[in-house]
Amino acid sequence: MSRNDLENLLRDHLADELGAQRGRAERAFRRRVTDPMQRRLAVQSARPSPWAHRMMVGVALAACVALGTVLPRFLASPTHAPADHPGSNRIFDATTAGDRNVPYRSVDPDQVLIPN
Amino acid sequence: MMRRAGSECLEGTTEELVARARLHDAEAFTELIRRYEGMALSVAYARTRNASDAGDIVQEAFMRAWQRLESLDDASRFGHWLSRMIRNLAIDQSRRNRPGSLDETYDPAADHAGPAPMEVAEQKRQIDGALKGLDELSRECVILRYYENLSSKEIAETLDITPAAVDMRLSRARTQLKERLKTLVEES
Repeated sequence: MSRNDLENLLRDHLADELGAQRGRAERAFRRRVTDPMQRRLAVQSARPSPWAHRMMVGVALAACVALGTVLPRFLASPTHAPADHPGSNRIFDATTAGDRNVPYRSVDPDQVLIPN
Repeated sequence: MMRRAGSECLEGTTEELVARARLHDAEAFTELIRRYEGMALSVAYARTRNASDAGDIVQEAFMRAWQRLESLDDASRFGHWLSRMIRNLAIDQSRRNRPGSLDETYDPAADHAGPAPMEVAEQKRQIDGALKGLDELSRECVILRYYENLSSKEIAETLDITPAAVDMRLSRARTQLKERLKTLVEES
């Protein structure tokens, strides 16, 4: 047997034996490490960044402050103030007091009312 | 040892890839797997002489290497470090699965799907028997040379012996294998 024959025999045998095992380690590594890592990164990128999150909280707080400041003034305005409230153009009308449907009547704010 | 697998390979030396893998760069480590898988399979197969077991050990060895990369002192010795890990895993497996013998009942033909022709199975059995007759270090040298086509210097680095020792072992192994496989080649 020549050295060449022996070497060819060994090469063929080893390639035949180990060929099917090639790539297994890489596939296992991808399945166990690379893919979970990429999934985690995808989830992280889908979440808002810390700065975006802070901005959203800031905007929400500003909206609350604005509401707390503007809403009382809005409610106190003449068109929205409750009846008999200073500035209201609706006063209690004794003549219709018995009528639950028309307890108030609108009057001209400049009109002077003299009780009976 | 620097085996390329497709066009998506990363560039860089082993040291650079190890440095990147230490920073949890999985793609860099995948490239290390591509480059060293053949060597790893050779060492594992030389120890277990069962292709499927060798595949299992290599898979596990790379996972361990990924987790323990911090403990590798010299990045240029990644191959040697990995081969040591594979040897330890092979020893663990042989203790666990086949006490007393690495592979007394192993039938190489059983690793392949479908029935192999009698002559092929017989040839495999004889080559496997001839390889089994070598000591483990010589078997590693033979498989690294004839499966992975490594030079004596590369084999020496992987197995932590001198290139002269590799050449001597290869020469003796060839003589031994020729003697054992003489009839096989004459028949074929």
